[in-house]
Amino acid sequence: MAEIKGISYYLPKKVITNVQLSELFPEWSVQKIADKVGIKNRYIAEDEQCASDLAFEAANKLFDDLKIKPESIDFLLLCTQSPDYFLPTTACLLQNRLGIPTTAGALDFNLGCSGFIYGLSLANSLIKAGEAKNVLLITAETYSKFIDARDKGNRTIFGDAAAACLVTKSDRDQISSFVYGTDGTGGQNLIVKYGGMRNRNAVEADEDCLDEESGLLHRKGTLEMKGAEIFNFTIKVVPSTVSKILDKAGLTIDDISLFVFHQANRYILEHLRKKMGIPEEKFYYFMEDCGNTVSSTIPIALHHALIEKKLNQGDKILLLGFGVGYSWGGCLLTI
Amino acid sequence: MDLQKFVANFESAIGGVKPGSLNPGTVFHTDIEYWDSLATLSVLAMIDMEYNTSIRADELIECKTIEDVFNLAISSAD
Repeated sequence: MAEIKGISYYLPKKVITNVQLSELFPEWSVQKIADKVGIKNRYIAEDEQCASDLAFEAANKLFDDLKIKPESIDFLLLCTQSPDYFLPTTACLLQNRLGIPTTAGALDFNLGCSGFIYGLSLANSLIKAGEAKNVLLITAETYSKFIDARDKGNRTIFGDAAAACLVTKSDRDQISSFVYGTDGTGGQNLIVKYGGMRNRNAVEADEDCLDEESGLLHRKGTLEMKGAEIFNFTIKVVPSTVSKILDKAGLTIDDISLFVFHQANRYILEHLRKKMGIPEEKFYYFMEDCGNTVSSTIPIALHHALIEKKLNQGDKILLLGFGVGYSWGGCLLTI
Repeated sequence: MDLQKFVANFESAIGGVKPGSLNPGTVFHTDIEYWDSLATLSVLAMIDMEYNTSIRADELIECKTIEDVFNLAISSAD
């Protein structure tokens, strides 16, 4: 059996405020949008700062916070879609930088907003199968490097971050009731088309193209998001996935003390909360200061929820991630 | 589904417009100042919440008038 021992996170130093965005885009009602999406600041990695650098900081903070040594880690899982290199695996570089033993397993996995849930599932399974005792699960993303400088919408929403979570062997089964979902038909709705092996023409990647939804120009090789299609996807899968998790555990919404969802943006989450009839006080938000940090939103929110909310032993938290892929997943945590 | 009620719901969903200022023939992309991606989301959210159905985002973007959106919502609810 397994439990989460602790979560720490790291935000880059460079902050982009709503005031700065308003100065960059005077025609863009940044404040209005920010009020609705619930984001005031987002932190952006420096040019030379990569996902592994953010991951390194988050992991060291976790080691300090929990007063543990890297030598105790026997498996490292790194969730990122912005790795330092195509190869080698970023988790291998991190093993060396962090001083994790060479006897440890380490791998990257490529998921976005659902990544923390899948990482928890992998960590939980490795421990239950007896393959590991102390799994370091890191989510680290620098989406800012994918975003066109003119893309006001995505620059308003996304921030860079890394979160580190220690999942350990335990005498109690804290993590349970996993439900997964995948639908590749939505792949084109949140995509970086260039930079991989499919489209390798760097000149073409630098050409401008028009985004039909926003009416804005962006370079073809930068991040493209069809926000309205993503919204339709979330209203379709999120309520049904919550129901499946509750059914699996034999629980109802009333039995859950706190819901911690991927912090996509406040507007979408508030719609989902109302649609599912979840009381406001049971629905946790943490995005005002850091925006949508992709796979790190759930661990960052969970870190703060565990400090702020006075949860009792036995209380249940429902975690749910959803987004790029499309990919989604959720589970229960028992305090 | 009532067209007048739909227009009222449309107004309240996007906010920032005077109640009664829109009508079925309003060409929302151009007639409404500050129409943006969040307004598109707001209309999708309203249709989901009030009519318990969803329309495709690309079809909504192709609509010209509010009545076009209404007709799309009716056909998706059928």
